[in-house]
Amino acid sequence: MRTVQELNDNKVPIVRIDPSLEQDRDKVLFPDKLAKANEMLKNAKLPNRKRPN
Amino acid sequence: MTIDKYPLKAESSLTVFEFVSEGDNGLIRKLIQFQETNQLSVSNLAFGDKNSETGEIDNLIVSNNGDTEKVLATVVAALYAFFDKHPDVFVYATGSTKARTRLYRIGITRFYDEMVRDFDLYGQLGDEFYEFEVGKEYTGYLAQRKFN
Repeated sequence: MRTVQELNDNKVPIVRIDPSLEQDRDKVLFPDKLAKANEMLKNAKLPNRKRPN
Repeated sequence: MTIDKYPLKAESSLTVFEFVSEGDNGLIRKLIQFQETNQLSVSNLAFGDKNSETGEIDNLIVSNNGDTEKVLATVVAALYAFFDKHPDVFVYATGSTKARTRLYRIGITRFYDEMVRDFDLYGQLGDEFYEFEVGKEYTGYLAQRKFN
């Protein structure tokens, strides 16, 4: 069995699911940042998408 | 990632994360959200402070809590968790100010060696994205998970 340290060192971190955060799930918590991102991406040419093998 | 980071809490879709920064100015609640943008399958990474008393979110505040590296490591950890659940999505990040955009560059540069093994990283100049180069300034950043 892996040690706590090994678990904590994982690249995919251990995340505790907190039901109290479900209320934020569909909210836009940072509307100004989303607006800026949409503006920055409006005419942007994205790199080619890679897909799982 | 072996650099110290804060424990993360999230809702079940792993798009909203919360952690508590502990530093010179005490305990500060931080929120990270991966927001759907107008571009198909492109999520915007946003984070800021949550006022514990009012619940209000401030994305411009500079906490100066003396733990920037640990906070950045935690944001990168959330990125790994998000990609684990949403592998096909591009993640975009740009700062609300030039200083914040610079902070993203510092974060990517700090964790570049590890991130580039797992992600394709791009920097935005105008409407184009280029392979990320350490030391170069960009107006936005994009990450895509590698699959091999």
